Amino acid sequence: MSIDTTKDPVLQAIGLEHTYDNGFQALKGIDLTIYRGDYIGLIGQNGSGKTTMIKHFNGLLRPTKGKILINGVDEATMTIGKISKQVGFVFQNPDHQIFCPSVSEELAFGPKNCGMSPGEIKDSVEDALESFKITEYANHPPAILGFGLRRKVSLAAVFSCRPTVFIMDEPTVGLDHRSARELLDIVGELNSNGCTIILITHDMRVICENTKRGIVLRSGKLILDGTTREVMSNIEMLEQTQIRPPQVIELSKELSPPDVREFPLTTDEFIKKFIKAKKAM
Amino acid sequence: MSFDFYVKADSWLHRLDPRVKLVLALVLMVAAMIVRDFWLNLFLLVGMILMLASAKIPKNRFVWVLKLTVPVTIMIIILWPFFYHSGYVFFHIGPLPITFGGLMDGVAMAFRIISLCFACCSLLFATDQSKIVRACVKMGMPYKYGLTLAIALRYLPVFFGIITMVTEAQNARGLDIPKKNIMKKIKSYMPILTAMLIAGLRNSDNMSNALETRAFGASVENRTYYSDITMKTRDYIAMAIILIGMAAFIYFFVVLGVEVPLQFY
Repeated sequence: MSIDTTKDPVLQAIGLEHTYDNGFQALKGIDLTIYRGDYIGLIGQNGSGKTTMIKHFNGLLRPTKGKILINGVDEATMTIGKISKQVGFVFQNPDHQIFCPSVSEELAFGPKNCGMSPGEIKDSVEDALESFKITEYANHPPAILGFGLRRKVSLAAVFSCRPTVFIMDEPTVGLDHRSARELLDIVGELNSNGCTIILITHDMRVICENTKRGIVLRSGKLILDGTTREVMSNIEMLEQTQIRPPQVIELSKELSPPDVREFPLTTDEFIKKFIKAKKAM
Repeated sequence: MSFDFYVKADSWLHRLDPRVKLVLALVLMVAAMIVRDFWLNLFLLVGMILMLASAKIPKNRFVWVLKLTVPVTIMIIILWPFFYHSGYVFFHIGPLPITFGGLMDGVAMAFRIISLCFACCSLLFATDQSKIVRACVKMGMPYKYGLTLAIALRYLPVFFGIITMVTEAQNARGLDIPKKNIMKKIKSYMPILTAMLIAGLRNSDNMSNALETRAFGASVENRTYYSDITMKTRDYIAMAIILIGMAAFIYFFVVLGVEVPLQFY
């Protein structure tokens, strides 16, 4: 199985380079196409250029060379307000965006900026509240909610703009296992409803259990791009970027004959492949 | 621009005791305030820049200070000649004569503002912030206030960092900050400022908890410090030079009123 390239491209980076004012070249020529319905795990060490690349996707940074196409249109012609209608980006810290007296007003801020009509705003806020299962908190002041809920509010507040691409920076950090699972289930549901998702995380298990496609950056270059299974099974390449796949994959590699190149990504898959297979014998 | 005033380097200015540098900064500020003369203010300004340059302060810091002061200085230079008139008249705007003396006085004022900034910088660029606070506490400031000052200095740059991040986070939700309409501009900053305030309060709450878990406020008499400061011989000599210089400066330019003529022919 490889990446499905028959779908419409929603985001395209063409020869994308970025050099910061202090002379640091964070991106050294990235060519990447993201298709509608992709669920991408973006991997790379700190300083590998993940955030710089993502900031190009929603217009916070502009390429110093190369270009970005959003749904086929050159991003250089769009203001950040226009881009945010199509590409939603949730920052790591929810406290950097929460400012409204109630959750529903918080969720309405984005749609208002995007120029939706009052009716549309109401619909999209209700939709976002429901999708993220926070309807009961609609009238609560978001700033005093618990961390897990604040995180959900921050995601819902970007989702309410109805972006076609939804980018999340470390959405599971600071959440306990159950809240993280719940959040990822919600995100998975959004993806199966057609939303394109890009997930930045250092948690390889989250990548393996959720995403369909993996992209690995190292010092400003794209070094791996493929299905999550292809990327995660390429242990040698990952090692060069100081990334270790989950132990399940390492164990599978030890147990498999040397010509096997693809391994189970999750414990369930492992059980199916090795333990049940053995029992059957 | 990194978010710290302090430039780590090893120079004569860096090695001085922070108390001496505090006095130096005060003396330079007073000097800049008491003279009001094109040449003298220019002399002070150039003097301070040379002094800082000799203390291994990199060029980009000077540029940074100058950039910060540009709006104020331009405003002073433009407005000053309207209210102060002396000497050669260039032309009239309505009933107001625009004069050479007025313009030069305005420029002197601009020099004064920049000098005041550089005077502060002679302390801030060359002294570790914790040492400044140690100096204040040693000179009698209660420790609590000293710590408050230290935290304020420490968090100033952090807040600038948060402003950037908050702005980006709100931009990502479609917040376009209009460039022209000033009222709309102020209004569009509300989401940023409110989020900042909430983040700031949350920070301060965490900070106070962190302080208390480390026994802040425990009554310890004669507490000691990890990095203490002591006056050495060179500090006494520097202090003497500064004070004598100050006295001489006041004697010549205030008491005797020595003036350097400035003429427009």
